[in-house]
Amino acid sequence: MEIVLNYRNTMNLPLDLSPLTPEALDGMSAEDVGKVKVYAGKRMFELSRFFKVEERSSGEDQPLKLTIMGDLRNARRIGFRMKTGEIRVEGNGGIYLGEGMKGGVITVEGDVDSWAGSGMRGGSIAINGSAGDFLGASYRGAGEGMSGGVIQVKGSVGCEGGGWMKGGLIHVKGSAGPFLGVHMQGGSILVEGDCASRMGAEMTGGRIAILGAVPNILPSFTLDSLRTHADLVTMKVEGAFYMFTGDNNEQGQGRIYVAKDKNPHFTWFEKYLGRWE
Amino acid sequence: MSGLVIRNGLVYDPLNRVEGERMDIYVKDGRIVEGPLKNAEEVDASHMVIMPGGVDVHSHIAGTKVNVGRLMRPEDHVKDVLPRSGLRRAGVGHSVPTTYITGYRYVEMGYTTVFEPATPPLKTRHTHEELDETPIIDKGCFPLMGNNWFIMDYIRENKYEECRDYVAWLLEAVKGYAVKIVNPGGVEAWAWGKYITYLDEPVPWFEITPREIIRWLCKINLELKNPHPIHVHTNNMAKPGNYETTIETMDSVKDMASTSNGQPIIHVTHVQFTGRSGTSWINVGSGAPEIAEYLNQNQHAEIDVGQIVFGDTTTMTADGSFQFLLHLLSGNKWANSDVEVETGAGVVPFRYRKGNYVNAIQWGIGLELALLVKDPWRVQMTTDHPNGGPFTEYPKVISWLMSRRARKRLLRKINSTARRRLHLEDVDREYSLNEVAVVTRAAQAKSLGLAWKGHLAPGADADIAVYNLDPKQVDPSRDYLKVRKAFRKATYTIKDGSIVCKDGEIVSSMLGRTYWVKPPLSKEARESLISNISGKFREYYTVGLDNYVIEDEYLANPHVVAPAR
Repeated sequence: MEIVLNYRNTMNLPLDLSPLTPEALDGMSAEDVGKVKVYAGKRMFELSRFFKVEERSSGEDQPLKLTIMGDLRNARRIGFRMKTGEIRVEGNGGIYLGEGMKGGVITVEGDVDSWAGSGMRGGSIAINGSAGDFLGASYRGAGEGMSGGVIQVKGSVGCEGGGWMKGGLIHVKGSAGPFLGVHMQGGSILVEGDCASRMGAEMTGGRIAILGAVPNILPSFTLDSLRTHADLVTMKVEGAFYMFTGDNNEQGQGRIYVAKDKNPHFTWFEKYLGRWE
Repeated sequence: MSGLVIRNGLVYDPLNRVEGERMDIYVKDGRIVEGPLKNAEEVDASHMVIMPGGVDVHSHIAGTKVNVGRLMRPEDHVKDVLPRSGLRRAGVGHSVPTTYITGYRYVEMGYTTVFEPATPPLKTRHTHEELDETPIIDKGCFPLMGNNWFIMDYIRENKYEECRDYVAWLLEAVKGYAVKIVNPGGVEAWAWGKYITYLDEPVPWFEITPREIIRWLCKINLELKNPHPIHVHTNNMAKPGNYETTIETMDSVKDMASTSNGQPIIHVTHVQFTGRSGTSWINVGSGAPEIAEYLNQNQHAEIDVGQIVFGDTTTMTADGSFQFLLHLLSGNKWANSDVEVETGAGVVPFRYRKGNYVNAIQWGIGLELALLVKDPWRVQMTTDHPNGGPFTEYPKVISWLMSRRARKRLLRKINSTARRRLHLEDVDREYSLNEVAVVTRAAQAKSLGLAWKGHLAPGADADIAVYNLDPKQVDPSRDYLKVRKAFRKATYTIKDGSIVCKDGEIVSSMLGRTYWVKPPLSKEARESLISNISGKFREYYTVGLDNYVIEDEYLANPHVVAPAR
């Protein structure tokens, strides 16, 4: 079954859509879904106040699919801790999209705000637009970023993407902001575009590959070698790369692969290669 | 309304030697009175237990370090968000709840009086602001004095009278309730990058010893007749083998006991953290039997347990050096503070794990202390909230005390080496409801010198807890989960004669009192003291003396307690 929510766009206050997960709505009729209570600001209202709720039949025995249509930039926690099924957002999503999700699929046609996939453990998020800050990063203060699953972003991402990440994959087709993979402990980040400075700061593990240009590398990283491919945890990316290791300030075992052809200003590093052996 | 009568409950009132008697309790004008009362509102407590409102002698609920804990733990709050509901204000809970939630959660469990046990005098204005924002419960705070430069200067210069007058003035100036000593001399030493490791080790610069600090403050406390004994967090917190320091600390003031009419003169706090045997983290074990033996043989000392509860919490203490050690051990984030002239503090989030050897030993030490000390009046139940665990876990601790079966069930899940090294498996003792009433309210009220709290005789404050637990139907030893459920949500909590909580829901709110003591200080002594310290204030402090003193009217509902002991 498929439940379609069409946003009336009548609310300026933040909407908390965390109760709307496929497993929570499974077996409910459209009428029942419309009666689910959600927070708008500090008060609770029935969902039907903000959404036109429809029901569409789909294949038997299929997990529930939830389609949410409209500009949902003020809707937070879409797919909060979801375990199964599918959520499709035909528009933009708000903050904490897919926070703590354990399984299932979230697809977003537009952009999403910050903290998408924060503390995620499994499942996948596909964002056709751009993502805000802290993509797949830790909830504020927790020190535990995403530990599993896949996040794909066609556009760009803001700062601290993959912060405190422990596992899983973040794949960004566009560019990434500063402090990519800060405090990273495991998992992989692949950025096909350019990346701002300070990537991998205080990382202790995990792998980052940048196919575009980077302005610099932190002085606490060491150029280890030149590689013919970036060896990410779950995939290999072919190409010529500088492989840096660090963050040495943390006695880290992380790796950052930087594309050689897009970063000619790193050529001077090569004279240090092998000097420490 | 002409009062309230609570009918047919089984009353546990240890201070009046009432143990499980079916009685009616009469309340009028906020006090317990003799019955009967005409036209009184009636509460049916049939098949329920009635106890005095709970009293907590040691719970970090307010002040700057608590607030730092709140600021640095958004991930703690997100687990426990309470939206506004009826009379209840919104807030967040778990290990460092917001002020309103702190008050509500205590009341929901039947507690009505709570003391914040560590406030730097300089920052006590903030502590009082938070206490005023903590609804319903009565409260107070203990100013930190164990590393105060003025006191250490007086000790070095051997000026006893001046030191006594300063302590009296300080309690009055910051509206404090008791003398708190944390790692005497050790916090100051750590500010110099050094550690104090035994009671006779000199404190850098001051060249006095922790033993002198404890003895001077104990003597002063007795002379000022303060209602609560000196409240001591010993040196060598959390270090293997520190049970010896704990016993030595208690023993250091034993010779002064003759002046106290048989009452304890030293309260050693959260002894679970300072009750470890062994010489390293490899062989750390429980020193609880030795401490219990000392307490069983000596009447001048009392303790609170500081029981740990497995799970996530936030540790915070004025013992900055201990928090630094914990930060290094755990790798968790750390906040540190040095309070000019007076003390320090640190905050580190921590998770107690069943499978961790040291954590499992800690869990065992707390329970061994509570079960091996024969006199329940001198071993009070706390979790050193939030250091050992949130105060909301008290029902779990009560169930462990009352049920060997509950303890055994958890013993099977803890680290196996720790299980072998603990003595807990061989301890058969199970607390009765009467003993639970002692360790959760009567003993704590008595220790605090609050003669009108912790009991249900006419004249006492009408602070009453009614729990849905029928001892004739429920065997706490077997049905410990029912015990937990009953103590988690009181059926009724009555504060000052008003029903504030019904079936675990807040039904009315009020402003609790803030207790503080005003020790005797003659006009001449006060003038001499002020002229003595005003110069030092200009030299040492970044605030002026006039701004340091907290005016009476600054507190929302102050209540002065007269010298009593």
